[in-house]
Amino acid sequence: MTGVRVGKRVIGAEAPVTIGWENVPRVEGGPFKRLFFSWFQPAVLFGLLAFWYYAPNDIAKASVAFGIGLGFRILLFALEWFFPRHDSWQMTWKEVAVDLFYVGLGATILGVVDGFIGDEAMLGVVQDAFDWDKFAWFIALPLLLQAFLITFIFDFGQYWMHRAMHHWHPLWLTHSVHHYITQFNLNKGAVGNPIELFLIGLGIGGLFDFLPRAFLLAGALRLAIGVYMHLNVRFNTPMWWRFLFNTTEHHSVHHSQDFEATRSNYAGMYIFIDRIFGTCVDGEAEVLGLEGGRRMSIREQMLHPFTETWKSLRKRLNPSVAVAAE
Amino acid sequence: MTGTAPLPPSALPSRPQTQLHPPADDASILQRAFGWIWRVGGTLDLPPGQSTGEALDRLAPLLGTPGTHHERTGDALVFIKRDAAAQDRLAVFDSGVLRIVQDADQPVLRFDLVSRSLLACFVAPLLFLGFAQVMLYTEKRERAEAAAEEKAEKAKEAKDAKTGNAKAVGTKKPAKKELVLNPIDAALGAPAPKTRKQMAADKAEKDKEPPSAKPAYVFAGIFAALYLIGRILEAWLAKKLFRKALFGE
Repeated sequence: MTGVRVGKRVIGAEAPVTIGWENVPRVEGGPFKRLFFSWFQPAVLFGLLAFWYYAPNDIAKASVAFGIGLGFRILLFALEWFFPRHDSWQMTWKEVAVDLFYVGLGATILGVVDGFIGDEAMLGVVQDAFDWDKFAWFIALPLLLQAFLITFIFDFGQYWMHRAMHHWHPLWLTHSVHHYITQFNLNKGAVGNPIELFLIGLGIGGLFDFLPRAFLLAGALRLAIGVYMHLNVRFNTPMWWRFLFNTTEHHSVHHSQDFEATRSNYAGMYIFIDRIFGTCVDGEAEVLGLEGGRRMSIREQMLHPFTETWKSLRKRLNPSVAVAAE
Repeated sequence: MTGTAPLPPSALPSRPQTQLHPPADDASILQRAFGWIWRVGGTLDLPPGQSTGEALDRLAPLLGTPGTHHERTGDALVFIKRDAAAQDRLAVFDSGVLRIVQDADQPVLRFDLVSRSLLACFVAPLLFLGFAQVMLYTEKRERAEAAAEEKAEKAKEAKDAKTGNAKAVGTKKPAKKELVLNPIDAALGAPAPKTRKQMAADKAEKDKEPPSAKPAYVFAGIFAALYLIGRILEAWLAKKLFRKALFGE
């Protein structure tokens, strides 16, 4: 495997990665199918934005947003089942159960922990210590701009946290667990070690005040753009979308078995952040995972950062013992 | 570009020191009473005229997947799996025995498969019910703390007003301004934000609701349903897989 030169790097020298949009397959089939898979993403994005922009106040509330989010995910789940991007990523009972376990953790106990030590709690302490109120800089801006800023501030922070996770060993130990997934499905974004899930969720958005409707619009952006990252469905995504937003294709490159490719496409929603900082690679990969695609059990996923830390410490403190043990 | 890269040797289950054992009929009382939770078994008639050796030859390739170690012991195939690939069609089972036995009039395949995934899924609702209790406790505690804080603040304000502590009264935070829309949004017809009074009323309404751990209960229900689906589905899929292998379908 020779790989393809992308900027100063060679991508795909260790494992198969397709580089360049012209080499990425398109949805084939009848005119209705092609129409559906070409317009689905923009239609959902603009439809959701229009809904939340104009919804009366008694409808524009979190419970309605939750219902729409759930309904949309059920639709995507059905699309994954009937129109999988890769058969090798086909859903199985075990994959669904494992993914839902992590979704459940995020919705329950990790939420409780986050309430005590998450970004909101930490920022609250800072604000109290300096007697700061929230910065009201953005509250008078147009709603869509506020919604963009909410998501961009978070995504910009996530870009650097994610990049740090790939370049600094202690953080990599927590994040590497997520890279052991061997296929993409709707809920795979939730799979990871709880420490990493906590770290990647940190943001400074809580320092700023926005209109309540802007948060709902930001949620719509997050849903209509971010949900495709780990989805096993192929779309004929428009070029402007691929230029601005992260896609399944971009994120599959990030999860490929090629080391150099994993050090690309760090942003969660806005791939243009990667373009600005020179880490974007346009393409896709099907063969995913670390250690040649070894699938990790939940038990190992939970313990991995600790066992690896212990191994590293032993190696550092007593190299001869570590070598003998290996 | 498709295909699954082979697993490195370190990822494969190490060869057991002793011969692999079937989870035999002399199982403990506990296993007999509750084994149905994590064990899937059944029988399947062999095609007419198929010998034991031929049947096992046809079944063996099913166990040739990465992360699976299997041995042929007489009339049986015994296997264990570690870190089975997601698309391994027996991935949900960690070990098992496929034995050819003589039934009343013809040989049959008797399979006995063990799944820790099914056991974990069976126990998961209890875990989420436990999380529900933690969520209820923390929410109650937070509300009690918030109420105590509010009460103390009110008492302080009342005391300051009574003692004429003008300085303290003067430090009271000014009322927050009403939220207003940007003129562009107003021109485009977006609804105006709620007034501070309406938002306070909504918050008071929400505070009246009893503490809830709905997500934890929902996930407990989801895993109970997932267990039932998995217990039936995986047994059916395994049987279908064995049938296809034996009959060469």
